[in-house]
Amino acid sequence: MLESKIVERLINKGINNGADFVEIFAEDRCGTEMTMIDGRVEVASSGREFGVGLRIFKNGQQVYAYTNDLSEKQLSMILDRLIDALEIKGSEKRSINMMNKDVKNSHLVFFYPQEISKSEKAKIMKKAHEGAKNYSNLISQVVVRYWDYDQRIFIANSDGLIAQDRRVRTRLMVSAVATKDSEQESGFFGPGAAMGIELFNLLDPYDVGAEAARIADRMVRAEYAPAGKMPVVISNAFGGVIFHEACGHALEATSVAKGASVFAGKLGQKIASDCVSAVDDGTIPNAWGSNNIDDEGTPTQRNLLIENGVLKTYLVDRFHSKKMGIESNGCGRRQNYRFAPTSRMSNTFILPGKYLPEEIIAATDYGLYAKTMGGGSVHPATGEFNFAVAEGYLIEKGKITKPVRGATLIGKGADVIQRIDMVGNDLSRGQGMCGSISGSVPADVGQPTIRVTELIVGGRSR
Amino acid sequence: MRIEDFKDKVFSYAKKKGFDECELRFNREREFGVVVSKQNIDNYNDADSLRVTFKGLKDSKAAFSSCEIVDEDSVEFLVNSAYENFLVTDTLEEDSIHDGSGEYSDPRHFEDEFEKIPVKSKIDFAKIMEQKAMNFDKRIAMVMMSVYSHERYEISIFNTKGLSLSESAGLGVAYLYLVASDGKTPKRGLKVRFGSRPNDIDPDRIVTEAAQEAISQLGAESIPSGKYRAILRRNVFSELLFAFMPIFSAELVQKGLSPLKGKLNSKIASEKLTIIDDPFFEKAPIKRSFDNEGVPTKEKSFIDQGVLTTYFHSLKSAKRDGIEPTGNVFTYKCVPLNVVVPAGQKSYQDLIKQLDRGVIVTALDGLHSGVRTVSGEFSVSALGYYVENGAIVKPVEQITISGNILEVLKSIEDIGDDCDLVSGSSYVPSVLVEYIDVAGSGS
Repeated sequence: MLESKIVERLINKGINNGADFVEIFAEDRCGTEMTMIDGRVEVASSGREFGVGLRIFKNGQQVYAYTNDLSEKQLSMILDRLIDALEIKGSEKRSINMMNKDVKNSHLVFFYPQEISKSEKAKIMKKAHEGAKNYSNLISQVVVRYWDYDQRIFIANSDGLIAQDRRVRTRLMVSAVATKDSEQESGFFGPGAAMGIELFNLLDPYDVGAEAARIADRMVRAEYAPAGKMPVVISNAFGGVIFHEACGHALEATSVAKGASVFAGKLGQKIASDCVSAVDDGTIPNAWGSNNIDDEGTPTQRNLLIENGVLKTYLVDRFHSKKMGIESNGCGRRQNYRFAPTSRMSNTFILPGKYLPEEIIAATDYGLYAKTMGGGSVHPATGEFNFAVAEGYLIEKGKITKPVRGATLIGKGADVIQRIDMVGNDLSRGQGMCGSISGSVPADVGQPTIRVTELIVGGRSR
Repeated sequence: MRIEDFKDKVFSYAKKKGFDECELRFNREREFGVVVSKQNIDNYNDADSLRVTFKGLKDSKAAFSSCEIVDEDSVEFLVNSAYENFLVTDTLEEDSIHDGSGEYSDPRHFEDEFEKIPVKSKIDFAKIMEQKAMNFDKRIAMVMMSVYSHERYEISIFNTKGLSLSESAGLGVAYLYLVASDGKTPKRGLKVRFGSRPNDIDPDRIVTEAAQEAISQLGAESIPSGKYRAILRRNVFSELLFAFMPIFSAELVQKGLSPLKGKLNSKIASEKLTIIDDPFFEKAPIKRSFDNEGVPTKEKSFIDQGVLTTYFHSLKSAKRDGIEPTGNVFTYKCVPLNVVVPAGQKSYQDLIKQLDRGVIVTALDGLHSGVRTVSGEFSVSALGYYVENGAIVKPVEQITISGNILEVLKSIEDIGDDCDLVSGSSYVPSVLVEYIDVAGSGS
């Protein structure tokens, strides 16, 4: 993507002007986005993104710039501006020896998106549409979206690293609307993976549509969720959004390094109940949040975050690694070249426990069963988090009794992870987009079915 | 390659490929931003970029592509990939390319005074703002981010129907995200100010408001679940309105994805409420004379004394309804550019007196996930104050508010006179609503 001589000259220029660290990130990405409404392709678009980001550190400060003018003149001028912004001066003259790093590919792709015609992709969307439409006669509208991209990245830095990688993502998202009398409710299902269209050999698009429709069909018949504090049983897979929001973000170096996280300074301490062990694993083959290397060129790894309630490690990127005295553990991520990377989650989940999901429900006298989740958010400094229930049921006397409509669940992270008292054995993961200061990145959340002894359920009082 | 040559090459190749008409939109962006924490530059961005979007039309069907580099490869990429997209697009809706009809106001030109400020002064702005916040009160425990940023974009649209339009827009943004602590529980304060000139942005006001907000939340508790009278403070009213703007999209209405279907010219809100989309609003930093489809923008109320007077139309949705497009296609389709709610008679303090007993909602979280635009239902995390006998008695945390946006709009009892630029594109007052559902704990 960039000539190695130019890369070397830029890195040496940064170092010889006094920078502690210089990094060049280049990206070439081709993507497709298609939207089908009511069974017809409404909008199809293709995009190519191409640009370079430059970053330098000095004494705990970092500056970043990007452009899509890849000429050496432009890149060199941008570098000058970054050097000026940090007000640094060079003293030594040295030359960095650049070494190509072998990147081992753990995420085999059979069909690259550009090799597959758009009509093949439209056929998959059509199947998803039919799966939703045929589910029930209450389904009044179906919106199917299909995304894929093929991203090539190039990373070079003043540690002498040159690394290249190629990443493919494919995702199918269905929103179904059910209408009953004058009321409308929607249901959503959006699985994805780090692979090509072969994803749909593992996953029938018809079933993806049917799942979105099932949720809409249930919810349009449901009453309002109850309001107030109560036990909540959260189903597996995307239910893991609770850990992602309540705890995961607050373990990112982005807030920990400043002391701005409720979990800062708590390594080795008990922060969660005994039954909670959780990992962030960017290495899972072909998982939605996986990469061979992170966006700083560090190999991804499986990081054990919490073991039996004890905090074992944080998620650390290069910039914060020096401040915290902890090696980067492969989680420096960014949406694209328009963002400086920072510590982010990849595939984050609570490890399985001993209970059958049925046992957890049977042990609950009254509460909410949150079967399908929407997204959420958190303020790491205060721990206040929220996430939406897209499909809920009431639990009464150990039994699921009736469907209740979506409601937001809220709590404070540090309290809530101590209130997880039962963990099931049915670990599974779900796909989402995670937003933070380095943009929106694909991330898996996951967990087995769990119970939280109390959460505030944002429904309506009767 | 020069833009002019690139345009000619794309147009002639598109014709050769078989498109009937086509259009190119160039969006050149300049961004700068500095984030300071603990007097260090924590993040910094200095960027120039270009995005080119191609729209090709054949048999009244539109197909799209985009790229970021202007060269020979891109000419082929744009046209060939759009053509492949055309082949799979089987919508029955007719799209078009604008011919320049309608009345255009003068193209806007953004005088970028932010760019002229030396970088060092901008870094110092963020450092000083952080310092002032730390010195404001000893309960201010930390500044997570002190930010100074600005951006400018130049947009140009050319098409084969002879349309050729160009203008620029931009704004500056400063914000402070801080934490106050009483040694027990940390509380957050976040304030943002926007402006089209550096002088519009007063760092002292940001410091005072962010710090006071965080301090005033110290000692907050949840309140019991129930229906409460409520004031939605101007920033909260604005955020809630914006989360539901898709319901005003004609495209979504036509597809049965909005609760406003069939409600045109009927009463959907309190008659005290009027909401205007004003693309030329003086106090808003971004002003536009044409939208991203090249259609002239215009000032219009979309809720007039409680009555829904228009949806936001693209070329495509307007054609389907047999009316003129409304000039509302921007980053998203069929949205307003600047939302303006005319002030009511009551001061914020008078609204609190009138509330008598209830909650003031001052912050929301989870609007991206707790809002269902298909039904108008919402359930989101909130902060605020509890009011008794017309006065604030305590801060409130760990509650949610929920309801249906159309019920909320109808239950507006009064409107404040405290209009402010609470986001880069909304100038709204606080409103008093008759009731809202609160979920919380405690007694």
